[in-house]
Amino acid sequence: MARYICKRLIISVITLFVILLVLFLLLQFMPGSPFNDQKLSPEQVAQLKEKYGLDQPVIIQFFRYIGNMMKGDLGVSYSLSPNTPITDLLVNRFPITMKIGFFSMILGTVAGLLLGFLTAFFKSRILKFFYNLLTLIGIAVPSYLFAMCFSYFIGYKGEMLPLLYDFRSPFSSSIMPVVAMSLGVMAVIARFAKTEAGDVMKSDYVLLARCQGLSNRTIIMKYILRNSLMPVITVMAGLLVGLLTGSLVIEQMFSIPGVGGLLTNAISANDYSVVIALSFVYSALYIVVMLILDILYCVIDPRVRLGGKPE
Amino acid sequence: MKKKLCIVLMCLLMIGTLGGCGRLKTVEQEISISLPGSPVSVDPQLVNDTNSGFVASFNTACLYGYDLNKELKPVLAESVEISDDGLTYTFHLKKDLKWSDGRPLTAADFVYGFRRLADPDVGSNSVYMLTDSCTVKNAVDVTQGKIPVTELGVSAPDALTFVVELETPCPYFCALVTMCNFAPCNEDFYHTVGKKYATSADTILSCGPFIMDRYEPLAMQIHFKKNPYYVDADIVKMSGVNLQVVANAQQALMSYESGYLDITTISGELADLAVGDPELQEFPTASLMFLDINHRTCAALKNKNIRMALTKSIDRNSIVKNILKTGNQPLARVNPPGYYIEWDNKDFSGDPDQYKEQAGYDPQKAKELWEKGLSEIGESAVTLTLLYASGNDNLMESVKQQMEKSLPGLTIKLKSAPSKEVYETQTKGGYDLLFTGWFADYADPTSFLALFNSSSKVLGYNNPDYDKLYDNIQTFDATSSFKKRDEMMHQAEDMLMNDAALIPLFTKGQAYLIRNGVTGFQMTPTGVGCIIEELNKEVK
Repeated sequence: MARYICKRLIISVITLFVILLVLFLLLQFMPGSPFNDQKLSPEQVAQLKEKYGLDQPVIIQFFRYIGNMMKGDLGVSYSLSPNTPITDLLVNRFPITMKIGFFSMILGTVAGLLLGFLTAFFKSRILKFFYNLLTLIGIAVPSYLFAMCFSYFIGYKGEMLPLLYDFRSPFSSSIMPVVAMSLGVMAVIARFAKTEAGDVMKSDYVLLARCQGLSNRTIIMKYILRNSLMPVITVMAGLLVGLLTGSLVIEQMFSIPGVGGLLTNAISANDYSVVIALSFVYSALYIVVMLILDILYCVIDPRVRLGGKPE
Repeated sequence: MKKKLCIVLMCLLMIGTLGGCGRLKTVEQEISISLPGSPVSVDPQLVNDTNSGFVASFNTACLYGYDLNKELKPVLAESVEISDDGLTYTFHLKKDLKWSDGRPLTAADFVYGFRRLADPDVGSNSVYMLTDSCTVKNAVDVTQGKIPVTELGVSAPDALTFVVELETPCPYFCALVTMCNFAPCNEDFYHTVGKKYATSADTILSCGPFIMDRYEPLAMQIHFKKNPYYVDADIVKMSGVNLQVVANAQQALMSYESGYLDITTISGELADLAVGDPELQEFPTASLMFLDINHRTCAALKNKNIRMALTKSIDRNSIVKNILKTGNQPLARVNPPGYYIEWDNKDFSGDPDQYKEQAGYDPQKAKELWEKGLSEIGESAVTLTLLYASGNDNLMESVKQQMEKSLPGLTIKLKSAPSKEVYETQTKGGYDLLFTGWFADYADPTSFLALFNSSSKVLGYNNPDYDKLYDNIQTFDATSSFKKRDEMMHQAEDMLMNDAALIPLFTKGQAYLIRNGVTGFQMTPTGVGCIIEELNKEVK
């Protein structure tokens, strides 16, 4: 497995390098410059470009950027927050986005698994009704609509929770965004969990286990849950990356100081260095999550052998 | 049993997460204000946008400032002496001025602040303040890196005296230095924190009414506490201020109504809902929103009658009433009303109908001028491209319809683009008509008149007679006769309106909801900054 991980890491580095190069080239086609200000003269714009090294050929900019990146320097913002090191921007904002994304994931997963498995195990009509209702709404309704409803009924009419994220009460002001973002996750996970558990319950080995006289509890815990989790984990990885990179609309609505809106703002402000740094971090995050996912497969299902020869 | 268990589990799942949270806590003697967007920078010399300017007004003080009646008043300066030629300003600072950490604030801090603004290594987008808004001695060469910043025409003969040398007279210089770009900066502190200057609450010093005690770059929430060392600390009543960035207007309104915010901006449809509410207050801004005419390349627009016909075909009142709504005012001239008071205490733009003949809505007259213009250029139909930044679709559609309705043979092609693309096209001159706007940095008509000077980097208007008159205004020593200078500025505006150099549309305003019991909130004459030191909130 160590060899497989090494191979994956090398491929990841090459992928990131290619992503950066493509980004550098694509950004050259964007109209305007980071210094879109009517009040700046062409000389002043030229000076600013020189200050940030934007007057040099793209390829030189690219390798200089890679060199700095090796030293942990992602550059400074040009126009969104002039002269601010991008690492500072990310260090301040990523933890909040990750915290909210992480809790949404946990809440959504736990709720989804419970809902899915319970519906699969107990053939209750009420449970089935709840399952259908919640998964249908969770999948069909976008999270910002939940956020709007929560804001209006719970925050504004009920005055139970803050309408805006407040550093003085981070827990209570995170509840609405976390719940709003977790409902979609819950619905997806619940559907997968129920379908998989249903399939596994009909499988031969479960039938055999029952014939052997194993208790219901043992069958569920040892056979059904473990085998139904595999596809659920695959879905979770994609959802997790989505949640960790932040939701533009949810963050804007609740004024959460996260990274959700940063990339869009950076693109519209032509803040090249922020666009590149964020894309790099997002890509790296995705690659890491996928790698962890592969390792998790091994842990959950010992039959999976990564990169090795079949035994 | 199983059923009951399932139901209980489901209910717990859905509502359990919402429990355990009490009502919102409010902190007494604090005021919460919404901001529509994050500040780009809180480094006073880098401030270049409205949100940053708003934030800076809490922890920055300058030589001069405004009181609640919008009257200019010395803040960190005690008095000023202006030389006979109007080129040297000697500011005498108040005694015992201190920074928020208790260190003395001296004239050397102003010298360093001005030099930072000019320094090309700092790279401030507001550098035009020194080179265009006024012309500080050597500023052009310093900002271009040709000579060292120490050559900039500012000096501190002693700790309480700060001297600025100008290249041309600038009668509004005291009003100009109310801008936070001209705030002092302590050199020792700046070198101590280095590149991290003004990127967190620990890396910035305050000389204003409040101290920033919570901030991070592109913050969504900024917190201030009262500055005990502020020169006018006695009049500061609030112990703290919370600025909350709320990008979603609906969320801002709900937060205001639920009591979390005390002051919030409101616009568009939501502002309509608040009309008649005693807590709704409108503040004008010194702004000119207009259609820029491409005089350089478009043959039809080189004809004055055609330009004037376009101007007179627009019903500005109807546009403001039906589309722009609360806060905005129709404008049929270059200078918006209410921001510049003349030598005889009259508003420079007090008469909204002064240019009725040149720009007032008159479809009949517009048609006559249009037909005359068409015959002069030998055309029967004209097609013009109107470029605008995305988000103004309804407004531009309405302008198009009005123009086409009044002027037979005119076709307006609307073209929207992201604002950065519009800006790039504007500098290259690739448009016929372009919807743009300008906000005055300082309370003087030259803020707007400068746009039409042929050396302006913004518009392509070229009129040698106008250039000559504008240069005369710029070099005229107003201290000899303010009346004469005001007259010259009126002449300049007359010249632009008579020549239909632009198509003015409206002037922007800002509507706020201010909670009953909150006092001491005012906007500066230009409407781009706010006056907050006397903010107060009655605790019920």
